[in-house]
Amino acid sequence: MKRKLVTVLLAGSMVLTAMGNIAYASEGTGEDWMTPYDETVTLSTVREAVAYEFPEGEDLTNSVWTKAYKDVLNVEVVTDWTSDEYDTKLNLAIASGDLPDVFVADDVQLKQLQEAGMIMDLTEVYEEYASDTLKGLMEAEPSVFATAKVDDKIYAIPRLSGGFHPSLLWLRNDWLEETGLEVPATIEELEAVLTAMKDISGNYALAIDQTLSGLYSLAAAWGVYPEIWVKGEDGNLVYGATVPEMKEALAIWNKWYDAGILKSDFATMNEDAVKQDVVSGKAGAMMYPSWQGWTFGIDEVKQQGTDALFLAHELPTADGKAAVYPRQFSNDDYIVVNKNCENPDAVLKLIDYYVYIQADAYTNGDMTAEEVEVFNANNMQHTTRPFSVTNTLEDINRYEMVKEARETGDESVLKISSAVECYNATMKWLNEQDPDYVAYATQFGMEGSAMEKNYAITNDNRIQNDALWGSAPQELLDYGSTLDDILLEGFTKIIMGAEDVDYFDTLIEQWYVAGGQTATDAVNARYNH
Amino acid sequence: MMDMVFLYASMGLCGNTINFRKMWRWPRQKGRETMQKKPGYLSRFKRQWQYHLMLLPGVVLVLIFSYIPLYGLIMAFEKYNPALGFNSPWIGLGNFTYLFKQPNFLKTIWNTFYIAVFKILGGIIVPVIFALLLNEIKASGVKKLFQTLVYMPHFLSWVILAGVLMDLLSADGLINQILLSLGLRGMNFLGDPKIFPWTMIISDIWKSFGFGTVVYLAALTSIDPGLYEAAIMDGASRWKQTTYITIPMLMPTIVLMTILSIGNILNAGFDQVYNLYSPIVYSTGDIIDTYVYRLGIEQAQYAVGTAVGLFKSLVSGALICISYYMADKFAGYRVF
Repeated sequence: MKRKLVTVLLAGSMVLTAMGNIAYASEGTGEDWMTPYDETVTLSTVREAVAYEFPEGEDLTNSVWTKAYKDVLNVEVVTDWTSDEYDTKLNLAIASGDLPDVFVADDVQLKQLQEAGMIMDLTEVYEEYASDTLKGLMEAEPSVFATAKVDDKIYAIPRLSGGFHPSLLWLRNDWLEETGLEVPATIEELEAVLTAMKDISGNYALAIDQTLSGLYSLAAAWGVYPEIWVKGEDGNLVYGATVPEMKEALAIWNKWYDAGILKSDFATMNEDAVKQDVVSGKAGAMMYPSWQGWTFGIDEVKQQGTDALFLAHELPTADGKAAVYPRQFSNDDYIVVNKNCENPDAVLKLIDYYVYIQADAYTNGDMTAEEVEVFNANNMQHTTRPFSVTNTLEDINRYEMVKEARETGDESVLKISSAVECYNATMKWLNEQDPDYVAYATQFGMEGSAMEKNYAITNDNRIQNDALWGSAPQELLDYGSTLDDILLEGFTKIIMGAEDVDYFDTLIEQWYVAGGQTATDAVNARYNH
Repeated sequence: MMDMVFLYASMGLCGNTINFRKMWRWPRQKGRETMQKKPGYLSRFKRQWQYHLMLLPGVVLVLIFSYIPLYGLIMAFEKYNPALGFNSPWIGLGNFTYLFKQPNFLKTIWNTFYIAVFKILGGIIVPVIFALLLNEIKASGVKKLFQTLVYMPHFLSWVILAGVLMDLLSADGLINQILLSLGLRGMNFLGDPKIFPWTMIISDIWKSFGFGTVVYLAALTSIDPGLYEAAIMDGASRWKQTTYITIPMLMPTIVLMTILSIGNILNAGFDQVYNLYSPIVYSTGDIIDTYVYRLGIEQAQYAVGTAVGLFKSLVSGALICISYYMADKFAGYRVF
């Protein structure tokens, strides 16, 4: 009897041990981060001063996030300073050597800090304390992660960026219906739509600003990518704006300018001026990334009515084939750790915590959508800098979930908290036509949303990557924006008719002489290396 | 530094009852009652130490904020890395050759010079004329009203004014609507490379002439009324009084203001141009400061910024010396 009991107990304990092992193994060593510290660990940091709307009694140093750091992980975050001139102030701090434990640096600062030996090699800490989710995010973007490494040692955690959002064609929907025309698939059809819209508005049709970024996006219609490096006919890289096909595009735009489709003084307008025009109903078309609704849509719908919303469409092309879109290398700064920091592991733990809240807490069932929402309400998630990274795939994921929920009516498919938020907001727009929520709908939630187009483009792999992927060579950086300025000035003159279209050839020659050749050589050297 | 001199100068002028020439010439004027014996330096100091003491705070401030930072000029000759501070690698004139090798840099120097020269000229002529006209108004209430009104824009920042001007000067803005309704051709004030520099010049003069006017009005009130009385006795007309008394008596102030503003010959007004220009007018409107800003100040290229600052200071310094020498030689006016 006694022996039996012992055996059972032993067996039982073995099972328990085994289960413990399995549980531990399935969690992976990466989940060490969840254990709180026995004694409070203090991390100092510096932050950019942004006017967030905190709940009463809270501020940047005392928010829902900092309270959670303390409660969950026993980490206290101390803010040495906040400044609205963050970069300048940080450069001063770097110069005087008075740096906090952890802070956000841009690519130039990262290089300087690394060269001066002022930041910590994070390789080991990352291996041990980064959660599986965080590692997954980094591994999904190897080319970005590579820019944070020197000789295979990790010196920073890149904050990543919000995924691929190409510029699309946005058309004011009530006007498009009024023209009775189809969504344009070719440039001629687009011209017809724009001409008709110009008559409706009584003003002009296509809103662009002085940076020409809208037209640069539309150049994809001719297979031209003005802002990235592409392979030329001889196999060497050339700057996208300098290829001969650009001339065709410029000729058409010049025609549009003469026809009054473009505003006569667009060359002096900035984005604010464009917004004024769009909101007051002077233009009905523009090229813009998926967040058009946030920048223009909300105010425009409030002013012009709910039927007047802008909807995203794929870019038309010169030959009517599906457009291929340019993609630039992008990353949103780096998280770096002072080499004198005593608890670099705590930095990783806080980043893990952020990623956990955003990606796992709701999905795992640890928290309800409402509980997660508290961390994101009023942009609270942005107050976590420098302890946050962006989930590159989040936009795609939540688009898929919201689409499924909308089509099936089954809200249980909304597995991440941001998808819940997005779904509810979209429903607010669709059911109540509340303008404050229109941007969620046009970007993610409604049928025909911008993300639907992004999704199709990504799935068909209709993407032209910048051939210069990663950080730019020094020769290119040295020119600042001066090389682009030469082209911008010249193109604007051609469009406005101050110069003939054939001036393009002269302009490109000038560009090469002024430094374009040096830059092109440097980019090719980097590419072939 | 220039700002401080300017401030002192204008303070002196606004406190109008002091005779301008006397005030600025006293170091050269020997003789008179106290200087007769040529006392030794020490005994002079003993008698004047209170004055030196009063000077001390100003001298200390200038020393701390204007002279000690000169050490930072060393950055202009280094490949500056904030993390390494002033021990960054020495590259001699590397930053300067980099600048002058940039496409269009020489063009921006010319643009800067062009815009600045006309701003300076207008900034002298317009306030002088306006002050003379204002001085003829007898009703002091009206005079004060106008003086205040034209002084107002001086206090507005270019960020605000640029927004206003962009609305006023756009293709469908107020000014163009007026031009069109008068049957004239509309003008692209901010988008035509030929017109843009003049938009900058005229709007800047409009913004700042009120300040100059106040300075000249102050100088006008300090002219001895006896001179006018004597001229009237001699039968001088209003116009003759102006050309023979008012303008000659204003000359020292005009010369001083000119010399002071020549220091700004390479400052064509960053905040004004930056807020109003666009790529289409780079050929005539891009000035040194805006060019360098786009070149890389955004990327924290402090060394290049310092090199530009040093270059501008050297040019301005040389020009001030030349103009000062010329004012002394041809017009006989000296500040020190």
